[in-house]
Amino acid sequence: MRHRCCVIAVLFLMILCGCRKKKDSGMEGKAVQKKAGPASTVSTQDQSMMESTIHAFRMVETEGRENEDARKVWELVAAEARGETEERVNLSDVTLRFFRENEVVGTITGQTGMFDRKKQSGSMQGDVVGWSSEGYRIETESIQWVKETMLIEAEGMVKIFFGDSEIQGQGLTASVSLKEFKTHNVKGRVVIDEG
Amino acid sequence: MRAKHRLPWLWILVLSLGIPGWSQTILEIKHADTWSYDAESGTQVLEGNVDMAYEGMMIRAARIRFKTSQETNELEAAEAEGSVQVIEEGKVARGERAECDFRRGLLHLKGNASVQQGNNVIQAKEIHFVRDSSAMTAVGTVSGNFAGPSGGAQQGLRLEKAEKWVFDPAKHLHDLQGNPVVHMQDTKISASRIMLQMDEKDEGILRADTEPPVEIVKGDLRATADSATYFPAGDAEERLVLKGNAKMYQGQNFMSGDEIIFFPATGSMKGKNVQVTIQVEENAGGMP
Repeated sequence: MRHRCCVIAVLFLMILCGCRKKKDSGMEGKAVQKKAGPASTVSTQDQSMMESTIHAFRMVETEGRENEDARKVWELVAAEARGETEERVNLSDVTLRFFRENEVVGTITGQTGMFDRKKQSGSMQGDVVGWSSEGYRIETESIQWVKETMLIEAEGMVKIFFGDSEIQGQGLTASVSLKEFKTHNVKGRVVIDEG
Repeated sequence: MRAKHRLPWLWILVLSLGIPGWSQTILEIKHADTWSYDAESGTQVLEGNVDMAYEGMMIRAARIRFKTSQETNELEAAEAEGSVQVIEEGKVARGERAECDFRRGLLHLKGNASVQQGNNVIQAKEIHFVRDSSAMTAVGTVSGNFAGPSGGAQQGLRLEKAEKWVFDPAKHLHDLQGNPVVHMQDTKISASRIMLQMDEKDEGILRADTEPPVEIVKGDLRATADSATYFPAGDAEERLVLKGNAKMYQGQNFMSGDEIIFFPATGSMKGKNVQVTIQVEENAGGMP
């Protein structure tokens, strides 16, 4: 049974208000306008985050018991995060990492992104690149990830690279760990090393 | 049996399907409805109207599954299924399924497998190719029509049936096993095994050896022996050598001996320890 256990560390609050730590969320960052905080648990801080820009935004989801067997599930990092609504955070220079047994199994980066704190889902746009721990690299213009389905989806043209091989397809459905993926209307070239 | 039986197309066919040399090669995916990857099993799957090019060959199938190395991500093997076709310069290899081992250089066509070029065709339950040696093995209800390079049926050979056909290009040998029945023009050869020794260019049959029980039928002539060797016309006269309990029947006439050599061009024969029984018709000589 998986449950979320998030750790909040709001750096500027730590500086201005002393060490203030929330144990069940997972955002940290440095606000430059107004206070930022654990949006999912404190509405007033949601409001403040909505109006603020956080630098070095970082959000982590873990599973297991904190300080015992807690394991990272995913980690969202952005150079900047700006609240658009209570639920919606706009991100720039975004990196999303997925973990298995605390090891990174998939990493996705993009120029901009959006994270819906209520749905725990988001999207990324602009030179989106994903890497799997098996050495597969995915390039596309935009993706969405959905927590309920644990899937990453893209609608546009997708390029998948492995070794010297390249696959081009239309659209993508992938597990968040990038362990499985599928694309449509495919063409490409596969290099076979015959030893 | 007068004509020299030339089968260079077999060599060409096998060479062309014998596939390329070792090293890095490119497999071009021209189209597939979907491509998917599963890291746990290390497989990539192309599905739906798969159309690929590989070393000058077109490969088509409903589904192709690639097995990749977990360590290097390199392709190790491929399995194709659903009306598999391998096409190259007029030659078409077909099978319900195909398996390719890239590292060992093996290609297996399975399920109603066939290789066709014009009127020449080999059919079997399975056909296996070894890339390195260009060897070919057809297994299970093997049959074929081989009209020769000119397409002329007069030079052709028809394999009515065999259980196994092994082509060894190093030895220039076609080895037909499992009670093969071969038709060369109007001659039918049945034996437990027939070996066609080709010349160095694999263009013509130097000799055809058989293993017992052997039966050869040419028109109303029927011959049996422990072993028989057929030599097409070439440097020497076309001849059929029957050895060991050799018997020849023609109508009511009968010949037996330890060895009988039959010359089809002239209809003459000679032998060792031969006994001949000739049925003389009373009305012979045109008496009314």
